Amino acid sequence: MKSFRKLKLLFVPLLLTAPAYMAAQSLTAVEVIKKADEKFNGEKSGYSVMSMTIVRPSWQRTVEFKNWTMGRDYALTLITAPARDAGQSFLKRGNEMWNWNPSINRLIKLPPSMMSQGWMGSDYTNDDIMRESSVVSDYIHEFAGEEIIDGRECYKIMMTARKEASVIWGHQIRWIDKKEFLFLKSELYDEDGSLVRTETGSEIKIMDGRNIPTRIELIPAEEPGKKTIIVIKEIKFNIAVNENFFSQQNMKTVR
Amino acid sequence: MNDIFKIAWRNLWRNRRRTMITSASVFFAVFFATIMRSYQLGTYDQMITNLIESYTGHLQIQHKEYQDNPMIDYSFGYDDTLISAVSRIKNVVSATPHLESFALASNGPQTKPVAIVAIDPLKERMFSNPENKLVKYRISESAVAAMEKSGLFPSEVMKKVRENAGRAYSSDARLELETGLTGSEALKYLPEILRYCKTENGFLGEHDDGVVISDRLAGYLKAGIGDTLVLLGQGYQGASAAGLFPVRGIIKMPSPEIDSRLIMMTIEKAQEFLDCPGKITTLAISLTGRSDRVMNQAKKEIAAIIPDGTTVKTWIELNPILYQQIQGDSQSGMLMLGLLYFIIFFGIFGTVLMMVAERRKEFGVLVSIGMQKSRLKRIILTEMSLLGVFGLAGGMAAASPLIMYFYYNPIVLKGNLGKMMEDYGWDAVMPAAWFGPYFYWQAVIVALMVIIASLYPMRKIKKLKEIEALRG
Amino acid sequence: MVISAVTVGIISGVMIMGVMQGWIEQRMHDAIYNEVSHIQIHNKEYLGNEEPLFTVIRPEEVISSVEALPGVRAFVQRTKLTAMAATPWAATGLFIYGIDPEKEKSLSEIYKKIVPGAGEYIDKNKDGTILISDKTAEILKLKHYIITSGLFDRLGGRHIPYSVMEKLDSLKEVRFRSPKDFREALRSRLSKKELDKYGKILIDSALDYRIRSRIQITLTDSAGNPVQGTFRVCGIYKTTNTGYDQMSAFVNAGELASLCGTGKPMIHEIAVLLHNIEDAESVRRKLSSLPPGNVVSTWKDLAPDAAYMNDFMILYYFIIIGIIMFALAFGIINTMMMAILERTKELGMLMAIGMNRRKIFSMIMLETTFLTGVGAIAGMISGWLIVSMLGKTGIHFAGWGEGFEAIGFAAVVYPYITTEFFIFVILMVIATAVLSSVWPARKALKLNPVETLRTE
Repeated sequence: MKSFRKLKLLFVPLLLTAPAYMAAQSLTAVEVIKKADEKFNGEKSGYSVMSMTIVRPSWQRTVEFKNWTMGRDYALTLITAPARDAGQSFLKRGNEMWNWNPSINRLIKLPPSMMSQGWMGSDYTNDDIMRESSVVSDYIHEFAGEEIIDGRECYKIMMTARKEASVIWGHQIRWIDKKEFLFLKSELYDEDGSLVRTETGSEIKIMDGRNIPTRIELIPAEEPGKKTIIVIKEIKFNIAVNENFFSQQNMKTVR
Repeated sequence: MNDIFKIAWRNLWRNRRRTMITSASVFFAVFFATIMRSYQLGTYDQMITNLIESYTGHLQIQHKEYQDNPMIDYSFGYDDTLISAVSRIKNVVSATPHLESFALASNGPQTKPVAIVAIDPLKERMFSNPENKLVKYRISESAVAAMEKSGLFPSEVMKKVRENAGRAYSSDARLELETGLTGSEALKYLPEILRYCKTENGFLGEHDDGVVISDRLAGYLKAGIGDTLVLLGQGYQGASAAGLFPVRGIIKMPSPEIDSRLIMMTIEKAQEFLDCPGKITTLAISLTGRSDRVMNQAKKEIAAIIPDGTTVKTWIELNPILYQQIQGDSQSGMLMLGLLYFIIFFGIFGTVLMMVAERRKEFGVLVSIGMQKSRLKRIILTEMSLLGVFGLAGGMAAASPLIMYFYYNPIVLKGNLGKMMEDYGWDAVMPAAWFGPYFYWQAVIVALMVIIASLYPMRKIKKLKEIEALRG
Repeated sequence: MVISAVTVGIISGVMIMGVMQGWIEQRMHDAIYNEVSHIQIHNKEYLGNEEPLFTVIRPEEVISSVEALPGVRAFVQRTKLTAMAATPWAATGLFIYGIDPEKEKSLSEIYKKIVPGAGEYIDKNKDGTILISDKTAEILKLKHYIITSGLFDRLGGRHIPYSVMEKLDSLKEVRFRSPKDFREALRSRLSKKELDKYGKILIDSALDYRIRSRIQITLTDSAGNPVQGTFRVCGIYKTTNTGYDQMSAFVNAGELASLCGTGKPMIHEIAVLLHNIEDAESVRRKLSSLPPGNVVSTWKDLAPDAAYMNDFMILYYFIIIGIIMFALAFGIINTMMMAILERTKELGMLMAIGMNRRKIFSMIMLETTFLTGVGAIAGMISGWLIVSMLGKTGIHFAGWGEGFEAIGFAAVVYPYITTEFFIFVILMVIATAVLSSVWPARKALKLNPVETLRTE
């Protein structure tokens, strides 16, 4: 195990930012990914309102929440619906993870076993939440062509995991919109080359002055009828917030 | 026929010693085999009964996927009509609902994974009767201190008490057994010890919103009666489950594994916690008997009335590993008995050889004075059969009272062996099985032995040349 | 006749005891050399709650106490943390042991239990590797089955008829991530007979452990916060106890320490192997002067099932041999009686010419004992030979394998007899022979020489 990174809690799947620098010269594969990643993760802070729908063969559930983030180390999530879960909040500070539950009036430090079944029952795994890896430095990138997705021209990039990187994926294929450097589709493969998961971004709208996909789907392979859908309802970039906001006290009072 | 019998009888009595010895061999084999087999089968019975009565039931209704994936998502809807419909089926004694899941429990900073077993407190009394296992005595620190102060107890007794400080017991017998008090010590001091160690306890009311937790778990979480536990987890279809539960009682489970993670609550409360109103994970059904016939019959009838998506399984299907273990052990037991009989057979055969050699002259005389060889054969065969019958009847007659006695009064195991059995959740006894097929099998085996042993004399008689025999 | 009866009896007794003894020996050996060693030292709190902060108290003192003890063959220190292990397909909870691989070899035999062809043991010099069990691999979906084209060609015609292989054509190069899926696929294509005959060889040869796969480990460090690291599977091991297997994975102690952010590895467990298992209790007593807060446990505390089995054995000895001796006694008495009756004339003669009763008595007894002895020796030798042969090849208990392995017993038993057993049997045989000869001998004495001489 080579790299020991700090944890990253990710509750905002896609956060897209600044207009692309469409330079005349062609970009390398890694530069494309870098740009997309920066749009994705690069904001200093942000606020969003989202709904997550968990789809299963025989049922479906929707959870709504508000999310505040600052850099990669601070995040606060407040569940607003359904009524049963409303009021619960999750706090990430560095590698500390907390959960506040008003119905039992308790603040709990989350152990890893809590997250092994997916956050709130969704297809987001421990790995997604902890987000240790970097799409830029943990992979070797190369162009694999160009495709059109939803009417938008995309770079198709093949990312092969570096041997010493601490990722469990064998390789990924990502489709990145040429104009805005949006992640429109990702296919994640295990080390044997089997497709494990597909992620798609669609319904691109302008929010807070930027073009972002407002609908993200996470589709596990080999399990028909099973997926997780995130819809971004509202998003604000670079909000005024500082470290004190991300506190245990605030977990209980944030609205 | 009749006179053949009389002749055979007389022949046997003519040589009393040989008769006695041979039938004694058979007697011994039958006696021993019967007793051993009775114990073996009794033990399996006990294991199975324990499992069935306190955990699985003879049959269970579950969601089709539940056995492979024991998750709350694979629960099924039930209501009283289902229970009454099942209870009305022939041979069904009771139908007891359970709702099982996993969660994290905490009382303060630590979280510990636990198994939740939700019950209907009234119905459960008829089934596994958990109230039986509630802690009645605890050798708490204050109890030890008080006992020391009282000066009533000699140092050896206090030493034993101190060695077991912190432990809890669901009965005075267990306390006595585990502390290792000798008979006389127990007689003199046990009632006093019990008095100091008695502890208050409670159980779940019919609509209780609290929990009963297992003893070791209570120790880890440092929770006692009246404390409030937090339970967190994932509920039905991804709902998050969180709740506060006051501790109503502490229960002592024999197996340390279970004792460190069991939480019991009412089904109502669990359904609320896990967000699955109206659902349970298993319905345990106990029947009047365990025979295959009764089980399969009940299984068929129940299968006809259960809701879609559920299935009914026998305890064997639910516990294939235990079944394998029992089969394996049973086979090896039968092997041992087989060897036992084999040895006895050799002894008997030896006798037969001797007998034939000794009576050669007698046979020669009989045949030469006109007795049909076939008649002679029949006489000898009758003799042999009678020998077998004596031994068999004697063995069975001797074994029966012992079986009957030990069936009602099984030997209680003490010491380490007893403790181990308790840890596995069994009573520390060696039970005997009631009469059953195994009993009658002994007769079959004896018959077989007689027949095979008789082959030799038959052959000899057939080949008998009277002149040579007479010449002696 | 007596001789053969005794021989047979002894052989069967030896066989039964051999198997039982073999079983129990195996369980004890495995418990000690794969799992618990003879002695373990923990922080008292750790035994109740496996939290990372409950490390052994003042470990350097403990270690020097252990080193100073006579009778210690080897000892190791380990980090032991609860963790979640995840692959892209599955996740499970288990214990991660941070070990010094070279030192471990002096105490644990897990390094010998690597599945052939499935990687290697932990190497101190290779970073980022983890050793997991066959069971863990199965749970994490790293135990694959695939009929490659190469395998297809190799099996066809040689081990498995072409007709059967044809049915599996659609499975070529299809990767199955669990034994269950593979078996289902076979079951849906082959008839029951074909499955019974070729199933095993198909499953064995299509087995493909994903060595070098990455596993993500999430632990809580001593502050209670999650830390995550990725390790590559270096090998797959398998002991006879799936319960132990599925909860145990091994990495280099140093790496675990850096993952948790502690400089030196945390010590949660110190395991000690002695030269003589009997010393366990006395060593425990000698170690009672350890820094308070630590607890010393012997193998009997840690693997109680093996301990009880061991105790049980003695009971079994008596019961089985007792039964067999009893049965033999009957046979012996029987046959000797007959023999005496047959020799009435001879005996009568001896008495008539003045041989005194005592001599006759002892003569009979000696004869009986001699015959029994010969049978016994024959039985023991044959029994011993059979047991030795089986001791090498092992007896396979097909069909009950899973049941046994669930509780830590191997599905293959190597029968085994101790010298004590041999001696015990010899003594019992002699005793039986002597006792059984009493009655016939007395009978012989009661013979009236005059009458016996009269019979024709």
